[in-house]
Amino acid sequence: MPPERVEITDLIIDYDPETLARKPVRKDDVLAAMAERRMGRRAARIVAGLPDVGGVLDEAHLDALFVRIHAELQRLNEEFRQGERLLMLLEPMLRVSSAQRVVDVGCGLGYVVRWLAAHRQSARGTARAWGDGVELLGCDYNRALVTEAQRLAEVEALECAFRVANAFRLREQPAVFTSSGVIHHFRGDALAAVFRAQAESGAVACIHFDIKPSWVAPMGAYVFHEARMRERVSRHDGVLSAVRAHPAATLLQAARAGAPEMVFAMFDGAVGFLPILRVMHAVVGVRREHAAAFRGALGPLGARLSELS
Amino acid sequence: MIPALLVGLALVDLAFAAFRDAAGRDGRIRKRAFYIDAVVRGTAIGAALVALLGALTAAVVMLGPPGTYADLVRIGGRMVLVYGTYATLVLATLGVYFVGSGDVRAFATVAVLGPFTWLRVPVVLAGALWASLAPAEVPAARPWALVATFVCAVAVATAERAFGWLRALGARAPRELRRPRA
Repeated sequence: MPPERVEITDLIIDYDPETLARKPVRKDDVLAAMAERRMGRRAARIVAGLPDVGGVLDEAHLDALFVRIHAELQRLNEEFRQGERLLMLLEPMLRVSSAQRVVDVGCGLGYVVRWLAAHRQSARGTARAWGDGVELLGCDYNRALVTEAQRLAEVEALECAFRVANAFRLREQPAVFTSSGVIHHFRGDALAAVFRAQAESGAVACIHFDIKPSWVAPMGAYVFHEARMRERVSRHDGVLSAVRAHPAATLLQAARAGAPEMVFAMFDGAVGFLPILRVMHAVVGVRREHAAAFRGALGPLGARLSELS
Repeated sequence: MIPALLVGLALVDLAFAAFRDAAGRDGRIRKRAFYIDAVVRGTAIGAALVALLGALTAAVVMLGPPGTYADLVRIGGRMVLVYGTYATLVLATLGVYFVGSGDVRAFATVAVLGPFTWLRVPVVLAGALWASLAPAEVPAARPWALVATFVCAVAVATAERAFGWLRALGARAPRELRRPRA
């Protein structure tokens, strides 16, 4: 059986996990890996068309491509109101926990972090105010994305920050870890390892949103990415992300195995009769001592959260 | 009436095309001014395109045999039916998106707005094709009417891509030729 297909963006860029230094990626190696994974001619054509310098994929071109891809992704997140979706869970979580920091893992252009910062600013002094004094931080390995995220935050004078860093190796704690559309990139043992690393880093809680797998998700992803995305890589990877999205059971099993000191549940985990109504689900984790208070703080939203265990 | 309705539908469609062309290009959170600027410029370019297509259609009517205008109106009536239905559905869904709650918005986006954007070009072309099957009272006028119909339909269908080309041209222009961004 061939290895699993992966997103092109997972193959064309590589980092040293210890130093986070960018590693050169040879186009031939990517094409060979894609052939082994039987990723098809369309994907191979996309990679073959990327410029290279002496066989190594051109880093400057990839940086610009990643910024464009993530700007398009931001458009989808705006349309699906990902900021509001996260805040529904984050605000009660911050209210009942001691967390003074929100760390977005694999933040890309930091859309969610910047949206939270903008929302907090506009809500300040009103009944909707939340998270005063809470630091909003986005972490990503990709320097080009982090630089652009920081620039965008400065352009709008938003109170948030971005770092090229492993989110689970920050010195500061405690934190609520969040992510959007990232968690399916971790497969098998690596998925449980994420929850372990997160707990060991002093996580108070976590909210990881991702596409909810269902019979309609790949079809919907195809239509949306064809309608909304300009980059061919985005179109390819968007559909594959929906195919590779983890089912709720996989997420909960990995989370509970990786971080037994926390309790976990799925938010919007039930697929239901009309899966297109709720296209995202989230694995939500919290330290045991905060579990009851968190559920209580959710109010009516608690009906959309499975049992925390 | 039919020509006026078609012009109105084309302008609305081109304004939306300009919005979609701008979407996903600016990473800021607050960018209403950017979108308004894009839509205003797109609508202006769209109006110029519609004027050009109007002139072309007028030329076809003048050069074609008697009955060409009546045939165009007959074809246009069917086009209004198809495009009007499509536009009504999209605009109504957009209204629901803006006033609805979270789940309703998600449904509006996933069930209508996304798929309908995806179907836009096929709808424009299929609408023109179905309209061109309307019975012709003056057969000699039909080829002339078909030329005008399909030139207009293809021009509007591909306008979104043209906005992208214009943007790329603008990006390559010397800085002093570019308009400052909001």
